[in-house]
Amino acid sequence: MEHDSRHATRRQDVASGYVLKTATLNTLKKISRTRTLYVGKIGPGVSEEMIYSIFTNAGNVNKVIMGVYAHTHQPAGFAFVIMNNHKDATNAVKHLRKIRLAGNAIDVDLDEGFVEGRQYARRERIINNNNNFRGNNRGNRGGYRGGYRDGRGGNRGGYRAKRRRV
Amino acid sequence: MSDDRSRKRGRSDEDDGYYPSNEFSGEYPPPNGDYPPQEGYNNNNNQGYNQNNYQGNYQGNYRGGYQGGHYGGYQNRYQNRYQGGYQNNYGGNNNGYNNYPPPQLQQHQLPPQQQQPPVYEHKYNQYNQGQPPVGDYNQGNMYNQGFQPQQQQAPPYADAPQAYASGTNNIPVGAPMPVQAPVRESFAGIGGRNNKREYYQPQEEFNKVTELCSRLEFLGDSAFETKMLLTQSSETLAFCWNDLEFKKKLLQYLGAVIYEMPHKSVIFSGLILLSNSKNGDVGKDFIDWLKHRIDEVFNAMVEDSNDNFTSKSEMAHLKSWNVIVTLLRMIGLLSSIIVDFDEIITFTNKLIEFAIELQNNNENRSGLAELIFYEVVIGIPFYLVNDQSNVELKNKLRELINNASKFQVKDGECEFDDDYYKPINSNNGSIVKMSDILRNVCEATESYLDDMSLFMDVASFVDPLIETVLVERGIKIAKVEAERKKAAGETEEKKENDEVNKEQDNDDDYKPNEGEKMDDDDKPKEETNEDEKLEIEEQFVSKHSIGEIEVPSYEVLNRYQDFSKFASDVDKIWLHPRYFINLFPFESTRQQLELETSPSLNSYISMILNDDIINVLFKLEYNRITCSKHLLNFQAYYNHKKFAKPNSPLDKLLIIKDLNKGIDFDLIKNLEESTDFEEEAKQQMINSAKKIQEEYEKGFTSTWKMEEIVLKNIINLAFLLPDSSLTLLYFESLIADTCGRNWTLSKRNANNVGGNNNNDILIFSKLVGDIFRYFYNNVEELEFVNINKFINWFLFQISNFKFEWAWEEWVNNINELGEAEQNYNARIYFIKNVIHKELLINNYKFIKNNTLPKEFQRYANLSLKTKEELIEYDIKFFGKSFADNNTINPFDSIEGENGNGLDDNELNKNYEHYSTEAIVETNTETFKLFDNYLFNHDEHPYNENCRDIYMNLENIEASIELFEELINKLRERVENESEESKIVENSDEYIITVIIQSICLIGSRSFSVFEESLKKVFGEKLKFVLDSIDNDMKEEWIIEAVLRIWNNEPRIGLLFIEKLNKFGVLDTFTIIRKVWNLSSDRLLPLSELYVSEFLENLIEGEIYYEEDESDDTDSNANEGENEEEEEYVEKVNEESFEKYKDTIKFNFEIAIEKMNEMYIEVENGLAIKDLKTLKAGDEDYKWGVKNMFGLLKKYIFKYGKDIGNEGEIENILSGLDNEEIRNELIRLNKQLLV
Repeated sequence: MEHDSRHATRRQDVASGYVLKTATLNTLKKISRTRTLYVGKIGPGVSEEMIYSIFTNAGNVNKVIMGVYAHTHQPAGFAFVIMNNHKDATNAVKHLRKIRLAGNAIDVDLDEGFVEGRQYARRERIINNNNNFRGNNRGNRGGYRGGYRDGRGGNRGGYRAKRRRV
Repeated sequence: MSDDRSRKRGRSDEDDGYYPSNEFSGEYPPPNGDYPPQEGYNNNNNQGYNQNNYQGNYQGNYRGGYQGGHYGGYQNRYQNRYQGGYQNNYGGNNNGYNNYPPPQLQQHQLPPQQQQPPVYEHKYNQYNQGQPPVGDYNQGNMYNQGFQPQQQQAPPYADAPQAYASGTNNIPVGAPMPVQAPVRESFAGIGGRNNKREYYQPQEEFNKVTELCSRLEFLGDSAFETKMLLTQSSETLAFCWNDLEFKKKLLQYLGAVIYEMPHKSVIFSGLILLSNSKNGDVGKDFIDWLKHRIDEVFNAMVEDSNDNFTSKSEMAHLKSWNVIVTLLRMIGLLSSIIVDFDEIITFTNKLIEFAIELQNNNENRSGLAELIFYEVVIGIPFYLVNDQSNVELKNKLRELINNASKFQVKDGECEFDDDYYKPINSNNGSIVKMSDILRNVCEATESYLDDMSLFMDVASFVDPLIETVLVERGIKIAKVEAERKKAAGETEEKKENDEVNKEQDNDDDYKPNEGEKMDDDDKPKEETNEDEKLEIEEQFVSKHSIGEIEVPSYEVLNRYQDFSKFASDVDKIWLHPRYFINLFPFESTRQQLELETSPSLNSYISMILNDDIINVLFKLEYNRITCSKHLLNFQAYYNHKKFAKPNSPLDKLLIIKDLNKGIDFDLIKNLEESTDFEEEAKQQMINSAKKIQEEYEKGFTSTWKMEEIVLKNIINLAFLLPDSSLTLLYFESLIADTCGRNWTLSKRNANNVGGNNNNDILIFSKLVGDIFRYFYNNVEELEFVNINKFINWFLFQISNFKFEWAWEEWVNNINELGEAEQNYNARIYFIKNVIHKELLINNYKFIKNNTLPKEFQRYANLSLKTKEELIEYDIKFFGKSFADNNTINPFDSIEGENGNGLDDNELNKNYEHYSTEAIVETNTETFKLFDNYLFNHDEHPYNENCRDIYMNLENIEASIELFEELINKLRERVENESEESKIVENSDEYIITVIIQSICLIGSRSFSVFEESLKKVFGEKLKFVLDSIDNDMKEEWIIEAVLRIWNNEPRIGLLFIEKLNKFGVLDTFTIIRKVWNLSSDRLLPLSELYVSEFLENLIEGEIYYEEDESDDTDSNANEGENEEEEEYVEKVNEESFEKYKDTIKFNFEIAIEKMNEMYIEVENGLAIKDLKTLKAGDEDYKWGVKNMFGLLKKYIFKYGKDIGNEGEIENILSGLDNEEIRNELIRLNKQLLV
């Protein structure tokens, strides 16, 4: 990242080097006022509510969208968090980047905005001997995969008849 | 090599070992000597260096050296830059560019012994060639007098694009690289992922300013590198200064450092002084720049104009008092090169007089007057830091301080006025009022003028460097003079030359002529004695005039005393009276040991350190990692011997204390003779004792711990009342970061030196633990709002460290409070809410079984209602016998669950194992939601109808007509039951409950699935049913139904309620009222932190900011439409803000209503002083009143200004029955609004 001579050190309330490196001008414009955060390196035991309760410390959370595998609907280790305004989003980036959530240091980054379909991971999780994610987790960052799929929620409980107790 | 690279990486923000990072931060050059012998250097045999032939050097070194593969990290980066940037674009044949000096890199190419004589020598030689050195500096050259281009060539870069395009070497000097517009702007673009993307290229391929700034960022961080950085950076500064773009950027950067890192001011003053000795323009321009920024702030005040620095060319900060004060200190540090420093003293005096007058003209305390008085007075010793031998100046400063002592410190109107701002109601002296510190400022500062030992002794390493520079210059100039005299009168032409030289003599930037190259034989150093040096210094050091700084009139400045303008966030903490929690002196261990681990708050050292730390905390908030690094290394920026070595344990300090007392006790000898210890332990102790002894002899005789001072300030800001602009989250993450970093660095250090003493490496964490204990022991005295902060901070800290905490030490304390259920008691409130919050952010089973002692496991129950209450609720729909038989005890339900499918053995393995191995379960399974859903029970007579409704709701394709039919059928069955078999009391309530509980189950996976399903699956059907039922109670039924399903985890239930609110089926006011009345035996917002936070989120969620996130690529949008859009957005925002205010008022009114109800229960009244002195064992209802009082205060602190109208809040508060509390709150509100 370039050093902005108007500040004594690099700002952290901006998008990460990864985003800046790959962003187009239009993406940068969107990021400059975005309310959406990309959260990566989330452990498998983390629920939406956990993410909500952590991010609510940084401001008002509008929505949490967990990233899932398209076929299994299991959590894919990333999520999108949409805050109420841009200030809350930058607050979260500044103060929640690299903090630990259920044991994992999470990545928090400004995102250009959620689009339906990005919640699906680009590839299935590959598990090595240590059961850790292999390779760069960013590979799982949501991509464009078409429109809304009805099965997004998945596993909706289903109706269960209760047996008569004896 | 690997060490070298790791050192470089260690300097990046995220990659110092604490955070893993793949980003390479290669800006920082390796220290001298780390580079292998370079091709260019060897080939040229130093000729290139002395004869300005940089071509050989540069090409040899950067191509040969970096391509050689020794520097993997540098290779790619620099290969591209230097090959592409210099060789190809600037070309080797261009003589001008051959002179391009990459000064910093030049330094590295030389082995240490060849770095003398100083590098500036070659620049004199440059001018000896008789040609203007072209360089890449478009403004001419370093010393521009005499070599200014004769003709103004404008525009300078006119030919640049063509030159670049044609590939010729006729590129204008300093021309920017042409920028190609990005071809494609879409995210993926046409052609898919493999298609080559074109990115926006930075304007300059190689930016020397950026590189220098990146290096200067670390100036002062490490004592070992300071001298090297100073030498190299000052060289670059002096050499490149006359490049306007360089100068502009550097001034920006230096200004930013002074403002954002005030603790580095002293070391940066050394840099300026050194650079000034090399190039007088540096000092002159820098001083002018500082003065102009101060002038700009004052001018803006006079004009009452924009309160930001508008132009990008200056500062990226608010025009504020803090800018004035901070820059003034920097000017003070440069006193030795300011000719008319009296102007600064006059200016300082004017500020002090303004503060005195402002305070005198106010009946009450004036925050602005206190700010100016305090900040200016504690800044006075800075004027003397770099000129300590100046007795005259010292006397003038004493006079200044004497004038300042006329300042009258005022307290609040009456005795308890300022009590609102006490973060903790302690009376044991641990709370120090800021006004008490203010009373001691003058005395402490004046006495410190004779000491000055806190500040870093920059002079000790800068002065010799300056002397070297000056001596070199002195000798050269003397030689020039001698030659001139010799040749005087020979020819007219020479006379003219003499005149020119004479003029140059008077100029600080004069450089010797050709032929006066300094030979090694000519070394002047040894020949110059001290007197000569002083004389030379007097004669040739560049001094500058600053001129008068005008201070606006009293009337102008007085306009801003309410901090509405020209006040940065750090200024605003002066708005209200402030208190310091003097944490550590009152910590039990330190009291027992009688150890003074931090300076007194009334001492000058404490004042200046606290001021600097607070400034850093505010101004580096945008980068908590850098902030954490600086705070951890804070004593490096001062005289580090004033403090104990970092991470010194208390035992060590105790020994130092004894050594200071001069006790005749030889610890080492004693240990050696001792037979009480095993040999290995004894040896370790002896080694430690030797180390302490050694450090003591080196001068580390202090028992003050910088870590404590830092932590104390962080905590004081975090617990400040009213809240500062910084969020609690910032402090939480900063402390967690610092603990982690401290541990990592100490461990690495211990490993490097072969030590294995784990106790030593947890010092920062131990201090945090000490604060936890202090707050817990005094939790009854903490303000209610601060108990909540304590809970959140405690939770955040332990959640970042595997949830480890020694809960056992608090067990007895809690047991003493008895078995009786207490809802509001501060101690229980704290323990209970921490555990509840832990359960929300981690696995229930893990938290309960692996982290909590048995005595506290009872608090791991979040159930909202007991079994009896649930039965009472279920009877309405299922009848008594059914409810008795089938309603499940919520606690049993939780106990029976097997969190995330792991058994105890698995959970016991370890935390990391848990976090990676956990099997994901849905909420339905985790919280046994089907246990709470009884409509599907076989014994329930309408279970088939309920099942059909459930299936219909779940099916996105099922029609609403069919749904209506099912509802009618169910209603018919329920209502047409005979009296004997009738079990449902109210069919409307029954239907609503069935539907709500069903949709809660369908969307139980998560609250966002619920929200999405509301929109796309069952939302319409729900609205249809609700529209068809006309009953005022229906919204309450919805809330009850949701919380019945989510009884075991009501926090998720509340989130569902919030989603229903956003969907439009629940009114905010109804939710607020219902939440206050959810439980019959307690007020949930007073006993459960998650409930009060839910209410606050609900209120703040009412502010809806309409933000346009649409794609901006459509640049052809109609302007008229945009205006309409803006108007619409403004209207929406205004409306939502009005609604937000109404919601605040409604919540306030309900709270007051509840307060009145509580006071009915209080038999003999409960005065405020009673509330402030409640003890842990007092009755629970008294704690309830206290919590309510605290909550009301919190609402005033938080929302008072948003409502904005004093009368409106007074109207609401007038509903309070208790007169004393009413008056107290009204007075607080008035104070805050003032």
